[in-house]
Amino acid sequence: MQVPDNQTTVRRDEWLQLLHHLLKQIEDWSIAQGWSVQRQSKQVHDGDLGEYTAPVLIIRGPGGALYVTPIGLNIIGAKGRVDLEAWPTLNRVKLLRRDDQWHIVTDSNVPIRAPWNAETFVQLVGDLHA
Amino acid sequence: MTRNEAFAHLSGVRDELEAAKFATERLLRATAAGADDLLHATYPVKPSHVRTCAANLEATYILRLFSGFEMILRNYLAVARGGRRRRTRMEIVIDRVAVACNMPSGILVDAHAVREHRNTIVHDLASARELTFGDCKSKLGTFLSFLPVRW
Repeated sequence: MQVPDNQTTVRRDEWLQLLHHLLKQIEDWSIAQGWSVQRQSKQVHDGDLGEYTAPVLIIRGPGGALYVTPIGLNIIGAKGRVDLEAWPTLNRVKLLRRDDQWHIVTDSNVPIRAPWNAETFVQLVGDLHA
Repeated sequence: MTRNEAFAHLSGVRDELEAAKFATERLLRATAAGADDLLHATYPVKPSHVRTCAANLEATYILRLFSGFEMILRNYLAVARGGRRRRTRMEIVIDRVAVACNMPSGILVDAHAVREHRNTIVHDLASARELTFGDCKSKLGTFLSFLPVRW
């Protein structure tokens, strides 16, 4: 098993901190809408960062469920990716971390040019369930 | 079978489509930039073949998606009837599952729209433009969400 060096450990901890912040943000926005939020965790195999446990959110609203799933930090063209997948429509968008901001990108790699905030998130959840 | 397994099938087809789109787009870009990747194909593949493949990917994967949907519904009905499998037409299979699971009529209409679109792809690909893969996945997923958790 590869032992991560100090620099790798720092990168992984910073990534996990970012994830916790993002998921807390999404959790707060969801609760404000009256949606229920369940926290789970998953194992992520993330290139040189090795394997780590990341948080996952399952949000249940009127249109169905939304799974917020971290994919990893080592992503081509971005510094981190988190997927938002709706159930039962299975519609999905990616949140890609670029220039210290989250950008919403469709499965077809078309960027949704809207700021990442509560209003956009709520609208996005509705659209993903449509 | 479980409902989660049914959904894993649909999302598996979606992920394969994304992989195929990624691979064909990359190959087309590399070829346009002068890469000789196609020369290494065991079968003579031309850039025009890859372009046609890319253009028809969504339609190809809608067929895959629908055949998985059909397998799931036939499995459900066979279990509900005590293990008997029949060669009932898919139109009737969809209707029977919708009745068995008390589905709203709009959900049933959407599933038939996908079935008709699938038939158009099979018989006249050029005119099959009304639904995207995403539309089909969303409509079939919503239909499957009315199935029991396990059957």
